[in-house]
Amino acid sequence: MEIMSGAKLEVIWAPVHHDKFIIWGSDITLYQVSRLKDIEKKTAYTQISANRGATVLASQSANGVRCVDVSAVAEQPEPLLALGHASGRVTLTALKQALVDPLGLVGREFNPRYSRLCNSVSWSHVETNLLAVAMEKHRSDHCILLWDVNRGSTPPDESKMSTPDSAKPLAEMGLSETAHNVSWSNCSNRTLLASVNLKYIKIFDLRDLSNKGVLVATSRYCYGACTDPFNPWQIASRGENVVCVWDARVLSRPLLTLPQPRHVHRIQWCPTRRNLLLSLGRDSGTLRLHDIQQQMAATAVEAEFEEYERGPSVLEREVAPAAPAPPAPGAAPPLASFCWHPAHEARLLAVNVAGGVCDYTVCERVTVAWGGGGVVWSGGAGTLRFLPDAAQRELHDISYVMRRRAQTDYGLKPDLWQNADLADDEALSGLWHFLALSKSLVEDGCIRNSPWKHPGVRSVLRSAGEGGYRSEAVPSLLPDLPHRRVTIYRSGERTRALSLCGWGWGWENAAAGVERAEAEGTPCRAAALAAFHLRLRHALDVLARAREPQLRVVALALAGLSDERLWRDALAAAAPALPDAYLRALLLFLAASAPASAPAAPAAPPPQGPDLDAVLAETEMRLEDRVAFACVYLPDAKLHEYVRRTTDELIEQGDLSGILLTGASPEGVALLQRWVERTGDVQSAALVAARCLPHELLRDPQEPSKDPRESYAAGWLGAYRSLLDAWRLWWPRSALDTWAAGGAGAGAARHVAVACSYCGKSVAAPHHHARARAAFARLPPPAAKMKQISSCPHCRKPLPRCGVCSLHLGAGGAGGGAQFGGWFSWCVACRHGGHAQHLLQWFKEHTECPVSSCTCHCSTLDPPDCP
Amino acid sequence: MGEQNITNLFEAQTIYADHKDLIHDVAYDFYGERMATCSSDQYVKIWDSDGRGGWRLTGSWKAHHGSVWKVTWAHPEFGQVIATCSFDRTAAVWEEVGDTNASGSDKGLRTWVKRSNLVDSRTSVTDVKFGPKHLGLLLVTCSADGIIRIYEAPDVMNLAQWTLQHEIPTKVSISCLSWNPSLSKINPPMLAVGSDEPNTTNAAASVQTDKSAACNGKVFIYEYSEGARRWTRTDCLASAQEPVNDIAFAPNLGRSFHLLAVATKDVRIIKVECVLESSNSANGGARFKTEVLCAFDAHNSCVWRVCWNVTGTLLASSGDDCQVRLWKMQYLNQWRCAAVFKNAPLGDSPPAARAHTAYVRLAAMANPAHMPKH
Repeated sequence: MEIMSGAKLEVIWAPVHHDKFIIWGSDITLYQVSRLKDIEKKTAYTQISANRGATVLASQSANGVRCVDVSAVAEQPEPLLALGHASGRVTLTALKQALVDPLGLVGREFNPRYSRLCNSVSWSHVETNLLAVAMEKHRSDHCILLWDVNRGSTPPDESKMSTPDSAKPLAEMGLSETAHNVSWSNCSNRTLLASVNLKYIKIFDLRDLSNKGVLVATSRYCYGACTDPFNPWQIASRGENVVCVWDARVLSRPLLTLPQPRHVHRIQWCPTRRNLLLSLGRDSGTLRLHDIQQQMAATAVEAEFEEYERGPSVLEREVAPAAPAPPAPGAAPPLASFCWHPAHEARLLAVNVAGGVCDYTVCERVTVAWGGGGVVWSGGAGTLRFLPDAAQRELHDISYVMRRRAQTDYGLKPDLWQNADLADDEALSGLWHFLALSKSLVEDGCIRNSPWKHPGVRSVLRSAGEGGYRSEAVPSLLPDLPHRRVTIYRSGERTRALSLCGWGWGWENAAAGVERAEAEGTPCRAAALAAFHLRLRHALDVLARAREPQLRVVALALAGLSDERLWRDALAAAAPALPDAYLRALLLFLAASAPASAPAAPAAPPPQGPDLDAVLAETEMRLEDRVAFACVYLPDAKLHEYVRRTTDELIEQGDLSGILLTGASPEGVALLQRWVERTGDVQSAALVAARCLPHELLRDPQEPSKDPRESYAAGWLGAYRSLLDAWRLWWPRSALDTWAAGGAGAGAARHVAVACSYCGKSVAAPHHHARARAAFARLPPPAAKMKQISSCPHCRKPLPRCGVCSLHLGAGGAGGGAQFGGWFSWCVACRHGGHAQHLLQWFKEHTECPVSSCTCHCSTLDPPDCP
Repeated sequence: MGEQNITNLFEAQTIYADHKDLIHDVAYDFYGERMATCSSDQYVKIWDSDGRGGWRLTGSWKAHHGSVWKVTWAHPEFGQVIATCSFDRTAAVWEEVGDTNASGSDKGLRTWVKRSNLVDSRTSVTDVKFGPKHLGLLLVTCSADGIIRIYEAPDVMNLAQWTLQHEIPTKVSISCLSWNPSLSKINPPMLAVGSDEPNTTNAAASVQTDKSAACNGKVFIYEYSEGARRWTRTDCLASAQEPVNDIAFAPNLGRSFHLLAVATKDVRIIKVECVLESSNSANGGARFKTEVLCAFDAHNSCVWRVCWNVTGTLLASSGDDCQVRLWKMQYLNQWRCAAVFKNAPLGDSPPAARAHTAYVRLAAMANPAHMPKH
């Protein structure tokens, strides 16, 4: 049953020559592996992996050869092969004749006393001169012969007249038995394994040849016995569709019996990794890895043994080495054989029945972790690969950006606009500038009665009562074009909204904006702004001054403004082709302005609406310009509709410019929430929340509420605090808490106060109203107020004593009293404490708690400081 | 391609961890300045950052009698505490107690003491995780026989005492679990677990018989109900049908939904959104709305681990193809591969010493400390 069907193919790596292997089927062929780029152009080669190829070094017919092994004789310049023949003869050969044959081994032959089939040959890798041969049964001879190739050899020419003396094997075992295969345990103790008589695994101890020790295990699954190179007592064998693992010390039963889906026809231990067994099933396209878990030590009690079996004591998985160029499309042919590389980590060579060879490296399962330091993953061979966080910078990841911003005190500057420059991002910069603007407008009294500290256009337009205000429609003439006129709308609300947009009311305010826009290098915007303020002459001047010649051409077109049908058509055709949204808007706006000669019908100018919509549809214009334009030229109903629609769109997109419309209101929270979900930039959201949102929106709701928006801001703050903690950015963290608590009003913030252990009341400042003070986790109120007290002001019981100086806390033990040195401080573990200054001094020299009989290592509870 | 260019920019450095066997898990502490590794060689090692990108070994000890599967750090508020779980059917809690006085080769190593050994499982403990800090000192383990155990240390100062609070049978082999890190009090404590039960007809049948609502998913979500004081399975993600190797909730970062990365046949990112109570009835009573944002089979094989960065905007995954891939969030809900790292095939450049050590007499290695490094 062990005879392979038809085309037998075996592959064996040379144990010493790491770049050579043989494939043995109808021929024995020696290959050399080299990188593809090292192979000379005209040489024929077989590609075995993406970057390696194998070239044939030598080949010979394998007629009559029954088994092959490659020796580990290190002195041999080319791999030395032992061939076992059908006659039982074993010959040594080197497929490629080397110039020198230092040991003179090539060509030697070893003959058994009685001719019969040779089943297996095996070279010892430790004592490289030993060769074991397994043979079929003969009733009066032994089936396992041990040869010393240096000694008992017969040169080929003398083989006919072999002298009985020299032809004697070193040892013989297994009288009148059949040995199916032999293999050495590659450990120094000269142990040979053999599968014998269809049911035994025999382990021979050959250290003393005159007194051979034999261990026997009985099993149907006795074939292919081999030992784990790392654990000489661990043995694997196969049979039918089962792989067995044995403990050589307890051979009464197999350690593991692993049923396999197919008939197993080859197993091998990995020589470079512990406890890894590889098996190949018949007609299988995959190799199966058995990762033996070594848990059941020899001490496993029999009773517990049953329980162990319930768990997976082996992890199995399959790998499919595929030849780089499959000979035929479709299913890869099943594998015929494989061989581990003797030295390279987890590398193996697999050969399929079609003769394709694949050089494959079995990947260990890679574990990966991501932390503050960077990504780390296991790189095989007990190494870790570590990628510092610089990678995140290259990826422009938000985590890196946020950390860098946090280090620059982003969001914590006293003036809101100062944060805009730190953001280094257009959208965020706009956000902070708007917040600064709206704050200053509120403070200047331009906007009153706003429910929010930072109102947006929408709340300003609404604040006089829902739709309760009326705008006054004013037909205006364009000063430079007296024959054209437009209708503009005014009201107090619109004026305030225009201020938020940065336009202001009237040309006096707007002229500055136009100049700024021109100075910023956006002449188109400047021109459009001037035109929207009905200063067409000014717009033309701006365009005429522009550096780009085509803008001057546009100015030419504008100057020719007329009601001629020809001009209008040309304009309509040309406008979409203009490169700049502001120029397009400018032309559309002028085209929409009605000629003054038309019958004055201020109530309903029918063509005006759609045309102005076209201006507003130029979404490449800045939002503030669009909104301001709408505030000037749209009637009330349309304006509300426009603002509502735009707000909803921007919230949906999470576009930060929408803060102009929403302000720091619940709608603004929804907008920021979308921004966070879109970009992950929880930092800006948390900072805006801490600084600008009303405190009701910051509270962490205890109960799920109807409006999820109420819980968002607390989530941002929590997430950002946790990030700052993880980055050890304590100062930004405390400043954030200060800002968040600052708006809270008295008493609402979380305080840490020292309570008297007797009466439970705060010992600090008992009779004053609570001050709005930031919560510092370990730093309770300064001792200034408690300088003189050494007992609780409520119950007059003494305060605890400092563990170092034994004075009552609060008694001003440290000089200066009010300074940090006099503050309460304590270990969160053992609850002992004292004056902060004393504790700092103490832990410079000690690791244990200053309180005698307390063994708490207070200071080592913190992770070691990095140098 | 862009991703190739980016890959070339990164130079990963190698740390010789000197584990004698496969490294199963690496875990960072809260600050990312300490690292714990565990391996099949039954050792746990602690590494400290030197602040310049280098790592120094500061702890190494034999932790278990079997392969150590996972290691995890507690929040630093509870001290320097890690938990490990192993094939030897136990999970253990370890605490650092300061410098050793040992000299010689152990000099500079700090001592870790086993504070508690959790021996309730009858099978291999496959994963262990500390709970979010705001829930107290919680530890959850899961085992190959499918039981999730939640332990609590009632006194955070006494790490020797852990009470088994909940034992949740799942009836399928559990391979991995993840806490929902959300800080919001709106979300009840939530756990996701993944099963590596192979997809045999048997397993599917057994799941179907014990649950009236048949669900072939391999990812389950459990939530703690304050009212009932117990953990209940509130969802089973039908989108993950293949055995699951790893699972990870993204850091919440104030999002209104949760992102769950699942390592199965492919890398999956699943958006889990709580359905509000009010609209519950309209939704057929489902607790969550789940949506598979992406499923990448770029690893061409089984995906082994997934891991988020600190903001949940980058995901790292590793597969059986020996590659580590980074996935980056592009725009809301869109993910793209940002970088690929291939473990250099070690066959190309084996350490020079290796070639010769292969044939040293192995008897000299009776003491594992003398093993050649590999």
